[in-house]
Amino acid sequence: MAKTKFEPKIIGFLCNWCSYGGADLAGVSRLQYPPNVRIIRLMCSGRVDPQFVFKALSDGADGVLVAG
Amino acid sequence: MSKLKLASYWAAACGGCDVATLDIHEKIVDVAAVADIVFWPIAVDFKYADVEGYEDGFIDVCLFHGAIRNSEGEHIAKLLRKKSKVMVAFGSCAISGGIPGLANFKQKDDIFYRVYIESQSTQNPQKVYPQTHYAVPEGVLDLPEFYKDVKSLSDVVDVDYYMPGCPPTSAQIWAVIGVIASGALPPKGAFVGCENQTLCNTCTRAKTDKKVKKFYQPYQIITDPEKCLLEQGLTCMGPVTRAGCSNQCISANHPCTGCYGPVEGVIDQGAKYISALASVVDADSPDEADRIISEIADPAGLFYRYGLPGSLLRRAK
Amino acid sequence: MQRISIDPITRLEGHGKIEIFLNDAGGVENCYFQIPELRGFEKFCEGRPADQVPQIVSRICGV
Ligand code: SF4
Ligand code: SF4
Ligand code: SF4
Repeated sequence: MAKTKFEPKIIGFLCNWCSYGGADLAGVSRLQYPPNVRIIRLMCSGRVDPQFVFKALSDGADGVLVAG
Repeated sequence: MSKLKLASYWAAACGGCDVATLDIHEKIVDVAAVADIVFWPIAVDFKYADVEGYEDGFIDVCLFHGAIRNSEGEHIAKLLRKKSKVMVAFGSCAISGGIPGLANFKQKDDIFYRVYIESQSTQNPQKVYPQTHYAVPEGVLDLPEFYKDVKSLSDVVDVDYYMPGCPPTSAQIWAVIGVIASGALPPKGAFVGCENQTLCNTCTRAKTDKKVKKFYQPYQIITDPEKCLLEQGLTCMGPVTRAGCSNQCISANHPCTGCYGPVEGVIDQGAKYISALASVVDADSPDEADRIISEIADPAGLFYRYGLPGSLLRRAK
Repeated sequence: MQRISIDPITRLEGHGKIEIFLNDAGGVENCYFQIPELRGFEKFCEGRPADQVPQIVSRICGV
């Protein structure tokens, strides 16, 4: 069997005003970033509840990124 | 009107839920006036074979205590589900695994080794472990299979109502029996015998600013009986625990350990408590925050004292 | 050989069953008492702070 490269699934909780804005800007500027990060926009990273992190990991995410 | 048919069972339980039910004292006579008990191992002599003989739906209400620890618990849960119109997960063991659910911090093999080989009171030089089937000269003896994980009742059968507490208070049990007898049943899935607010909301201790510089174990300080325990540095689970117990522990000057489980909308009491603590830790730097948080003894065992199997974590790896 | 199962034994705390085997004469040939339950307090109390243990082990038996 051919070896497949591990591609982690990362859930990113991004703040609307900074990191999400940054990701958006990256898209508008046609800067590419790997598709491993699945972004969830929050109005503030202070909205992140530890339950979100546990839920993401228990539903199969390999990592969680909180940026804000 | 024909009498209500009531059943009660314990899977991986301690009997405390049964005793809390019996603690309604002479009112048990009133229960007997409206209900026939058709299965209740702690109090009356019915066998599994009697239950098997009942028609499906014969039992009106089954109060199920205890977590699902082994194949017998699951088998009897399924049997009672089939025979009962209404299934109540009664007590924190049945709802979320309860105290026996702490076993999900450990591995099955390690539990067996500790219990049957290593423990100081065990003498087992031949290292015999329980077997699910064992041949003796007269026939074969069976024991249930001990599962890898503790499960909650709703992991194995459909549950109609949930009654929290370890154990639920007798006053709440009496109130719920009244509701059942009146036939005015709440919508399916409801939590009964409790309130839909946090314990903090009902707590009469003086609450000011929650700013914690240091956490203590209960034996390390003498607390002010008028002031919020969390503000005094005790890990009281009140902010994330459902009210309904008449504030038993906090009235006795002991922090709540969370036995009534999380309030509606919260799926993981422990995670929610991490959130609550994060907002009260009064640290000026990440290092100070680390120091304050590290003073909490056995956080996982405390935050998931009654609900590891029912939480998002379910078990330790 | 006839077999009588008393399952569960009732009116006490905990789980138990008794298997009685009768010989052809109707006498008891052998009798086995089994405890089909284990929760593992011996193991899961390990690592818990000492002052918390009384609260945990009080749930060994609530009767
Ligand atoms: S919920 Fe508590 S009181 Fe009830 S059986 Fe479980 S350990 Fe005992
Ligand atoms: S944290 Fe505990 S002591 Fe403080 S208000 Fe809430 S329930 Fe009361
Ligand atoms: S104070 Fe907390 S731990 Fe104590 S009985 Fe009430 S809910 Fe349970």
